[in-house]
Amino acid sequence: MAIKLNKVFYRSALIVTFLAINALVIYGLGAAWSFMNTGADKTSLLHLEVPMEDVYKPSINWINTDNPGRSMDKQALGEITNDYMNAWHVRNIAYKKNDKYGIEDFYTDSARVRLYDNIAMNLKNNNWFKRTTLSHNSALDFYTADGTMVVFKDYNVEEYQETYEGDQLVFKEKDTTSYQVMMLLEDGFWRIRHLKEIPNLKDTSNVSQRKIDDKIAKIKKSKGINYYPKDSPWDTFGKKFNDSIINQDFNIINDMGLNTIRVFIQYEDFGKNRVDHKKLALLKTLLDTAEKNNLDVLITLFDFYGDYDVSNWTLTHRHAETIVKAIKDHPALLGWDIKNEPDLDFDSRGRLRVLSWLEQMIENIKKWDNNHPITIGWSSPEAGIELADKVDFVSYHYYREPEAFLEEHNKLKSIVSDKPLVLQEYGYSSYSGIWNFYQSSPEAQFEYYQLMQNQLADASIPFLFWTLYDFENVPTSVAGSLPWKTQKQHYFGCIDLKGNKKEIFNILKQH
Amino acid sequence: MYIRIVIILCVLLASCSSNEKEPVIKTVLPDVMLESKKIDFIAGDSISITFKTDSSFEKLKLQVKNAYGSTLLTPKTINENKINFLVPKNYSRLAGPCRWQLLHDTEIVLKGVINITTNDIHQTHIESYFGPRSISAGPIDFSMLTVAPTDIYDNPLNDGTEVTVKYQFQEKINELKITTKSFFAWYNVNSTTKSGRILVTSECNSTTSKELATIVFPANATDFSINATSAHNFADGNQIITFKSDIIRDQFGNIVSNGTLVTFVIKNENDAYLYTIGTTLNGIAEAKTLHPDKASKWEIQAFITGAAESNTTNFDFKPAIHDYPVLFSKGNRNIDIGPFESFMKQLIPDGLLVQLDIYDADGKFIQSEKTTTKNGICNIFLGAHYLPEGNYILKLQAAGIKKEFRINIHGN
Repeated sequence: MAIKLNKVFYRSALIVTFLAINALVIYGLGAAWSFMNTGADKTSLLHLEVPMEDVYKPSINWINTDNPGRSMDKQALGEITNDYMNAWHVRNIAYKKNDKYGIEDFYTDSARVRLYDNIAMNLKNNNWFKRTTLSHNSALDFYTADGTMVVFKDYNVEEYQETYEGDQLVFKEKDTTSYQVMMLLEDGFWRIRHLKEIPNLKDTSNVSQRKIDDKIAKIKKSKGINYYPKDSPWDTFGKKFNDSIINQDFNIINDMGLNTIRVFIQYEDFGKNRVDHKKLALLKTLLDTAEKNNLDVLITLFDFYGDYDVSNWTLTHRHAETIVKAIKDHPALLGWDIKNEPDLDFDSRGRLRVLSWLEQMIENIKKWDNNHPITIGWSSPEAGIELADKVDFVSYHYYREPEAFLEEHNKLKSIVSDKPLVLQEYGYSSYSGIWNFYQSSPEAQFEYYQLMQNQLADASIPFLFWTLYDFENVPTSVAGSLPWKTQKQHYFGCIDLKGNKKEIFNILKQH
Repeated sequence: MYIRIVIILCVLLASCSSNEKEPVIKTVLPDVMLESKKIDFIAGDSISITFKTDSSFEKLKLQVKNAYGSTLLTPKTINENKINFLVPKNYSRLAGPCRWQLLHDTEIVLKGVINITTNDIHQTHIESYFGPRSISAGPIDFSMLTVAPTDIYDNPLNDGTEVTVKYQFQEKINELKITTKSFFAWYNVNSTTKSGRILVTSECNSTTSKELATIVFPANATDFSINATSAHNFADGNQIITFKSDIIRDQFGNIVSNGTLVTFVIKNENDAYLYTIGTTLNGIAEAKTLHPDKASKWEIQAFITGAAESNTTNFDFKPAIHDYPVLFSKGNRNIDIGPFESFMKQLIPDGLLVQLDIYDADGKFIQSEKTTTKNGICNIFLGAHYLPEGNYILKLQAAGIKKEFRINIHGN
């Protein structure tokens, strides 16, 4: 018995060893084979330009490219600008992560040592920095005859920096600094060789005065609506955009005696930092239609944007800049609402992060357009105090008990007494169904509006209610996919799904 | 009494104003004085910033910032009411403004700037660039020398620093002084009329740079002349004719660069063009081609594309073959042509083209037959499947000699 067992044991041991050795040999050969086949693609030697996604787009303006050396051509200037921006970007990322990644591509041997020293020290001290630059004004000093060296000044670079120690934000600052820069063209990359701070250029550009009084006067008399077309809610400028439907709707709104609409521009839908000119054309069509129907348009930017991180500030700037500059002279434009309900992102993104983003966006839009007031559509009257000294009028939304409205409004008014207040969103869903235990009804909606409109009229508070239509489809990105959350979103309108006017229509109609 | 009213008013005002603002928990900032008064330093100096304070300073931190980055420093306590921040080397060695901000928690208590100037006492380093590295002779082209001197800590030297540039060409050495502006100084070294190497070097604060060179290449070629030579002038299709230029030079007398491409274009008496190519060596281009196989008159001209051309030279070829026998057999279907004999009765080289054009008795063209000679002879067989019996005119053409036969082809 024992012998037999032994025999079986030895036999199986032999077979297992045989298989194991085979497996090892095959694995070894395979590993050697794949090792021989790995390695950089040969074309990478050439450092060909790889198409990079836009990650860093501060505004850069070459104020002068005349120089006593080689004349600067557009192609070379583009490459220099690109690599100079990349140099800033990799440095910002390096200081954020305390990691050297990418530095060697955009700094020469001697320059990168300085950055490495700084990174090592910050790593040791447990510091890190979130930083970005917002605008550059560059003037060329010299471009060598063989096109391998360039020296320029970068004036009045607006820099924003947050200093962290561990997880703690210690300090944030914004300053303006000018630099003298020398870059060398080495194996296909323009790399920074020298960087030295120089005195700032005196800003000689006349900042023209803001003229917003007439718009503010209009806002104080605003009676309006948050507008989405019936068949494309939360997607005004999508595939279903139809100017005759919009004209029809605006006609209805105008007939109701309203004078203002609020529309939403989605950050991604409009092409992020490279704004789609087709979308802009649609926006212009909408504004033209509004003008024809005597409606003023409050534009809410950055809908469905929720990052606010310093590292993509510059991209949001380019987005806003393109849109603002494209339509700032349109007569139907009433003002800019930077973001819809940003206070709802305080928990997930951090209050300071959101506020910093909003603050610099306000500053920028003021710079690009000095004829239109700026606001932020806070989700509640309590949030209205945030940045109240920065906005031109305070907007808030109110979906709570109508009885408590006036009290809340007056509380906010007492705190921000010097700015007009606008009730930018309010409304009541007439949805009655299993998901809200049949708690609402068109009658309840009627009562709500009766109460609200009386209060608003008595206190002459400008208002924009939510909304014109009941909606058949509500995208999941708005209120999720849970029926008890989304169902009521379908029934906020004053015209129902069949196109009949609800009872509230007559209250909302202005006389 | 007045004091009381004032106090009450103050309290009232304070309560009103606090009502209007978001309640912020303001930390009481400590009373801190800057102790160190020196603000101008030289790169590499040991820099420390001392503060005097009477309250606690546990929460004090110093943020320093220069062109390359920022860092947070923690203080060293000197005694009860003095703290000191030592600016680290990577900040104290960089010339330019170094900004500091004294922070208490998250509030700025004090801020200031120290100016660090370039360290020009110690050794200077020189980086110099010279380019383009090859230029052409004459008054237009130049190479640009840029010199970026730095101090021992790699800070660019101040504007106005003097740099001595020396450049040498053959026996002549020039020396001049230039000054830096915006990190660097530059000088255009003009090309010379003679080809050769220009060497440059630069010197700043008695540090010399490495030697850099640019090569002055000869400018574009000027017109030149050519000649054609051969062992004989018989059109034997065998001998090689050589075309040769004289020494080709640019307008300054420099021999053109070796390898300059010269195209020799040949035009024959039928206005047909042939060409052959040669490259220059020490200014002389040489190209060869075969003699034609029949008498020809060649006109040869050479070109350097876009730059220069030569004279036209002629070369006449005499016929090498004066006649050849033709023998018909096998019912005139087999035609033996040759032997072809050259100018000394030697057999011609293989490969002479022989063409036979066949016409019917009325002179209507039927067909061409082509063949080449081997060992001085060739043969054409007109098979029965190919030409039926009958009368034909055969026209034979070889080495420029035409022969015509009227024959009857029969049998198979």
